[in-house]
Amino acid sequence: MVGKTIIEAQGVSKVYGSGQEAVVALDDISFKVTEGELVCMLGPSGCGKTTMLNIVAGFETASSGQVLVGGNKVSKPAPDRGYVFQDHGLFPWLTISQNVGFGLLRNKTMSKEQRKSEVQRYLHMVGLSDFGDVYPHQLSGGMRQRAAIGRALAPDPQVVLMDEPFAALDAQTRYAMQIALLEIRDKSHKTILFVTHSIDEALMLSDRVMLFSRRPGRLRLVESIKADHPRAPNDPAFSELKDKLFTILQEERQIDIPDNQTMVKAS
Amino acid sequence: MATAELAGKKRTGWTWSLIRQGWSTVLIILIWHMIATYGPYPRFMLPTPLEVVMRGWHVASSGFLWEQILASLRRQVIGFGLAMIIGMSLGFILGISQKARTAMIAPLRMLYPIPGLAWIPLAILWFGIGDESMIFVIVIAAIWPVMFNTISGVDAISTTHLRAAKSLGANWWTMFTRVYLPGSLAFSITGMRLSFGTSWRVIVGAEIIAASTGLGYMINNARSILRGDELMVGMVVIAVIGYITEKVIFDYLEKATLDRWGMRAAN
Repeated sequence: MVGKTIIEAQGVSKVYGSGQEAVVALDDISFKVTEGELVCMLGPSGCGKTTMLNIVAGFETASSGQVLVGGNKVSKPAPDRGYVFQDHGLFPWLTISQNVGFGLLRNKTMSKEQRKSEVQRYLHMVGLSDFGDVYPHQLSGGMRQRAAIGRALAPDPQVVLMDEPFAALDAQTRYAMQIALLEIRDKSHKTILFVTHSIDEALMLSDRVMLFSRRPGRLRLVESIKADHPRAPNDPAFSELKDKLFTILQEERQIDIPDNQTMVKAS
Repeated sequence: MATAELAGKKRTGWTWSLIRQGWSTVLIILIWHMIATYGPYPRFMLPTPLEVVMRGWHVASSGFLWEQILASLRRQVIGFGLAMIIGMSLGFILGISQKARTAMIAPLRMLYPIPGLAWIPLAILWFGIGDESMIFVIVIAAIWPVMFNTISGVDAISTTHLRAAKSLGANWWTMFTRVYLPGSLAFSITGMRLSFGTSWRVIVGAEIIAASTGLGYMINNARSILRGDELMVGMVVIAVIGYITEKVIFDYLEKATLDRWGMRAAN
């Protein structure tokens, strides 16, 4: 089934600094994401996957190459690309409803009642219907991330970009949130580009996994995962792919250690 | 109370709390009374606490005290209000715009070390003796804390919040009212507190030098007619007004905002 290409990265490179101190974060990255796909960008710390996400978001600009979203070249942040931050990024001075409705403020044609009902719809979608009037500091970590997802979804973006949103949560909550994300995706049919450094998470969620090398970040591997949801990463059906990903990731993490030292397994 | 017994007869309850906080003040007043009554100082120099209270009653019931309080408060409110508006506006402009900051920070840093009272001769030269020069001095003295603190407050706003707002399509007005203002509030309120204290001190000094009404005038006048008791009434009133404003206005402001949002500066 050939779907519409929603995100297209064309030869994206990112260099920080110049001359001797130049750091190449990304090296000639190209990929396409189809509408409705959930794609994970996986890689060791510092590999540039978050930088890539930020370039798609418009928070950073590519040094060369470009990113097209919905056919348009990306340059600045805008509500057509929703973003969920690692530390939720909710505004502490606004209630959950006000946070979720923040992206709707710019819509001059929407009445207050309409906005209210839209907010309720998204609160319901992320399972926070009864928590509209509380402040973020009153919620648990998992609930805050759900609110952050609701906030990113409310302006009806073309794509949702997520930067390790569940990294700060404990294992149980994390698992629950992954299930919740899949439900939200089913209900909203959104295209999701998701950064993670956890293989299990990538296996749980992705339709496709893009594995980045360590800096300078290059795409080492792109694999489709066709298994039905719900998935258990411990499922033997995944063991081959999991081994492959694990081995490559380990390779990428160990290159820095000099030969005369014992190899230490990275976390 | 059963808990008090269980805790080894620890004394709880609001009466004990009052006693713990109040006994040192009571002791000071007693010592004062002793020294005033039995000491070598003439009454006009060191009146007893009771005489101060009685004189206070006298000037209050004659209306004299209220006239002075109102005169000082009027200048304070106008001056502090102007200082806040100008100070916060400058604070936001310099906080948000790097260009403005580089251009203007040097002259501002040179002006601010000049103590408020040192501006009085210039104020009188320009505005003559009267309310205008008083208010000018208050504004010039009180601008700095609120301005510099607001700049710091803007700096302290996390990149995540700024990015989140931009990616949700916030226009400049929404950015200002819904992100910059509340985000820098913890710092701004501290700045306002400091500014209020500064301006209150300055107004009294200014009135001593160049006014014919107000609490500063009252103190100085009392000195010239050798009424130590009236002088002290003035000082007590100055202290009480300062304390009440702090408790009623600024503490309340913090409670209604920072506490509600879980944003106490301690994080």
